[in-house]
Amino acid sequence: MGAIARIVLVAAVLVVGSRASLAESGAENFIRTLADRALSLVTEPSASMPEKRVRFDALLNETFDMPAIGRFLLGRYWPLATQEQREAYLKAFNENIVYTYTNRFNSYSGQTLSVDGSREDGQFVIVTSRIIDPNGGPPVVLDWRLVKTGDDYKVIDLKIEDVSMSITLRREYASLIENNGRSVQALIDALNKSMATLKARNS
Amino acid sequence: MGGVFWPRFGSKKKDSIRMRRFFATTFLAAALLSGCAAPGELDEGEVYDPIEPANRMVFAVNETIDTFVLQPTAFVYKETIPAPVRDMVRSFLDWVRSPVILVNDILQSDWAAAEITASRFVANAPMFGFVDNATGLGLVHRDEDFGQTLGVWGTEGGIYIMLPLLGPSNTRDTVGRVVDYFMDPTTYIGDDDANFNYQISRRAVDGIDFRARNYEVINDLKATSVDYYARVRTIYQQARNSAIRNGAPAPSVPSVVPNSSGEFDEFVPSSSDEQTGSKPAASD
Repeated sequence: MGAIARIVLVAAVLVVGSRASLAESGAENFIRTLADRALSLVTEPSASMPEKRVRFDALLNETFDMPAIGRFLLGRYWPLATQEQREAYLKAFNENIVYTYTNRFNSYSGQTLSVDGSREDGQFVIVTSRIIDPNGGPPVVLDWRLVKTGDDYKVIDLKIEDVSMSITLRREYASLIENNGRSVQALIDALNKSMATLKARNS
Repeated sequence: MGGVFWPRFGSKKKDSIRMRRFFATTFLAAALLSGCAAPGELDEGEVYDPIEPANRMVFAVNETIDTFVLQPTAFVYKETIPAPVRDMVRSFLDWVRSPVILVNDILQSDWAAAEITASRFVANAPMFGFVDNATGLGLVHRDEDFGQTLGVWGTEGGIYIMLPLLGPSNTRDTVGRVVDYFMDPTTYIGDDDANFNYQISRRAVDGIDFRARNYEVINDLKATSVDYYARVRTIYQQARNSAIRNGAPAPSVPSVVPNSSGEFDEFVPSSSDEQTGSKPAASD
């Protein structure tokens, strides 16, 4: 029994192991493709800013699990929100992210993304990468947290120098909601107000 | 310029006694505070902030100073001083911190880091730290402080404190700042007045350089936030935890499927979620 069981075990480990590493290189390629698409969008000379926003929004929603991220950011306050509030919040959150990132397009100066590796982390895959600055600045470490949906991946979090965007926004939203009598509407209003400022600043 | 940035002590000999008393009191208060830091009802990873109203007031003052003093100064600094000169300033500021970093490397039993810190200090010594030859030799600067050392030893952050002018901190890191101050050989050089001015200018320049280097990033963080205070609070905690681990991935936390961030256990991907109704929110 011993020998056969051992062979079966080894075979199983090999299969699982190789599948895992395949999955991870798939994740790395996913991030490479995402970076390439984002870069070509940023450096596209012919497209106007509103056009770029529309295309960035599409890329974002294709590669990031935006509705699930939005829900995760609200956390325990999600059940407190009405259906209309949820929709208004998801829309405001999505728009906020689009403006936050597209507003940075103009300060792009030749940086590239170098994908360094990946590892499994529970139900997620983490892809590690660095932004390389050709102007001599220190590299910025980016860790992407991915979830596998079917054959494809979706990004659910981005860590910049070990600071998680999802966790940061989750804390920030929670604080705002708590300080406004646990009202989700207060968050929606604040997001829309911040959007108005962002739009006024860069358009 | 020192007077603007710090409660002004007089300029007599007894100032040093007064100053030491000031630091001793801070230290004692911080030690007492960390003793009673018992965050019971916190969510995982949440910052313990029982004095939030006071912190927010200090934060508002700091923000005002940032808007009217620090930000304009940093802007002029980065626009008028050429980058190579700014790099020399940064390099010098890093170099004078070397002894403190070295002691903390050793206290953390990080011998490899201690060797790098010592080698960097020697390699950059000929030009008094103004020229950074060490980085080119593969000796990359990494800051350590006593707050991080306490963290490595297992001390939690304790109570979140917004320090006037110095910005976000907590009881652990405030204690760390005070210990670093006494660890620093430059604390004991020169007469009291000169030393006091040196310490203040050094920190002021450090602050201006930091603000200049992160000019756009910080303005962006502010502009895109809905609760900037809360944003800074969580970023501070995440960045400090990362510094304590020296950027290594967090150890797996026990959960259904062990992973490095238990909080993401709550994450429900879109596809496996047919109804947006009652998703497992945090159990209070």
